[in-house]
Amino acid sequence: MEFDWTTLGGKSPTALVKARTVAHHALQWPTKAARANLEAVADDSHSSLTWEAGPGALFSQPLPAGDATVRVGLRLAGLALIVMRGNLMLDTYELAGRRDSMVGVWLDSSLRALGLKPATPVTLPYTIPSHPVARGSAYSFSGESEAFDELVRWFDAAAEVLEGVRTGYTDGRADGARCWPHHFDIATVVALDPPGADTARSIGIGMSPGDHYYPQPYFYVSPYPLPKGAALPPLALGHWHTEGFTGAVALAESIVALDDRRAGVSGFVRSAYDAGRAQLGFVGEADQPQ
Amino acid sequence: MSAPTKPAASVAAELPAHGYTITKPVPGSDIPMDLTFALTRDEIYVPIVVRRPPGRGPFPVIVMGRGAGRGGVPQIEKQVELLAPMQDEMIARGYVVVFVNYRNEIPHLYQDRIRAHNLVDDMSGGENRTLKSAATLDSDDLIAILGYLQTLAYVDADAIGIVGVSHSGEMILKIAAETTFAAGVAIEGASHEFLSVDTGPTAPRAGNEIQYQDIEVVRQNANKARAMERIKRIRTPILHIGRNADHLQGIFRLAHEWMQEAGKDTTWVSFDHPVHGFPFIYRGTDGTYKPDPVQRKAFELFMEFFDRHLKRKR
Repeated sequence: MEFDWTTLGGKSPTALVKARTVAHHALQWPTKAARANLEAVADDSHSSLTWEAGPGALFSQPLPAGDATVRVGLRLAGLALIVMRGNLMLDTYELAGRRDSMVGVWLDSSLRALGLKPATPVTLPYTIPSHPVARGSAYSFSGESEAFDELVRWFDAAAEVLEGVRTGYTDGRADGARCWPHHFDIATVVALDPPGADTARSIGIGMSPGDHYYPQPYFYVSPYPLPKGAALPPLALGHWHTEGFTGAVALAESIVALDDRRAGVSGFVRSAYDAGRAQLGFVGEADQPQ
Repeated sequence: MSAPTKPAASVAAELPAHGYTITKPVPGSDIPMDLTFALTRDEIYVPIVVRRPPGRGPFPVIVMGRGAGRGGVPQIEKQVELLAPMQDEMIARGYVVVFVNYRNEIPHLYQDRIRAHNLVDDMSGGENRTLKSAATLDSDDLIAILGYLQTLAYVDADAIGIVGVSHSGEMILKIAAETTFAAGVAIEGASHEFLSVDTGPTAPRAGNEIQYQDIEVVRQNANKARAMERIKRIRTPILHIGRNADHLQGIFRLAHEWMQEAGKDTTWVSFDHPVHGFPFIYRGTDGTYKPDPVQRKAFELFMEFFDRHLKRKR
């Protein structure tokens, strides 16, 4: 079912910080479960998550549990952990009012019961922005239900855009969208060079629900490796971001101001992608690299 | 002149819930106990201990039970003395705390019994005897105790939770299928009767200890249709606390899984601990109260569950 872009902006894009920050912490549980039970791969994709629009949840990669596979997810609306075996929802655990110590007991119990390794011993190889939850406080997000609903809508919108990239950007190879728990962004990478090429030019396309750069959701298009001093052409929507990463950025507040948001975001991604290709040395829509 | 009419055969009325109380000190605590004899369904009395915070309430209530009924008054007095520091923590959090006893367990009687009701006295010619259709079970005592607690002015009748270890954990499920209370915590709930699990001579055993650690073995030896017929009547949220190495762990877990399958409000957690019933934190032999980290975590977890379900209702 197509996402209804007119629903975006029901909650102001800049009013999602509290919900996003606490959800970012909660998201570390599914990825810990994956790190505990999947063999590590070089690109860390074993720790990534997949968005499912139905439950509005981010799920771990499938964990092998006997004859079945198990996925651990975080439902954003109401913030609850979910354990799925195949398509059967085995367990849910609402986080409101609970401390991480309790959540760990619950998740470890669920995993052990399925013959899987517990999540709590896992140490993450990165840090995320501080939150009282990490210092032992209970999850507390009263009054944030609209913000969580709005985050769900931004992930739904991103999933639609990234699926369009995967199926439509045939001049490169794009995988399905993954959410990366370190930064909480959902993205795909369009690989522009053949597998095994010495250079590995690519363009990352994604949506961040907000971060220390921008306290609101934004879509981004980030070519790699961008030559130093590359001339960045003007964009019809958004701007070029150059601090920490280089990429075209379209902020949520600009998107919700558009009459046709779907067309606006698609156009932004396409034009920034084409600009990125040009910067990486490709000319024309289907040309080979120079 | 009409012939005199015979008095109609009658059914004795159920007595209203009530109890008789003796207040006594609890060794090592400033909070006394109300040793109370609560009316049971068959009109005798079962001993319970009630302890409460200062004030008029109404307070939420946590009912505690361990194992099968036994030992009469000395048993619960001893249990309360040993559990007093833990109970004092619960009272400090605003709960009335009740420790219960029941009549002795009668294995297997639950399976085929239809709950007792009063029968017509059609023999005595007007004496109005109180006759029962069936024997009363220990789980009926727990229902009667809830009925008594609901009569107390300082009790919030809609905020009564029960935590039980082992057979008392199973009783929580049994009565949840018969009546409704605010929340239940089944600690290592030995729910073989509730789930209709075979405990006969062909059941897996090591010596005299039945071996139902593996949930799949339990599943194969349970009567699911019968269990689900009971589970579907449950309207109370249940927290199941297992113990990873327990020989009945598969039973504890299956109760949760089938409740989940039936769409019930059920939560599962399990811990590594060497002691059966470890979330009940007893004084040591030297009288000191030293919960280990796992006990502390389990205690906090089930108290948070009660806070969630008993205090929100107020």
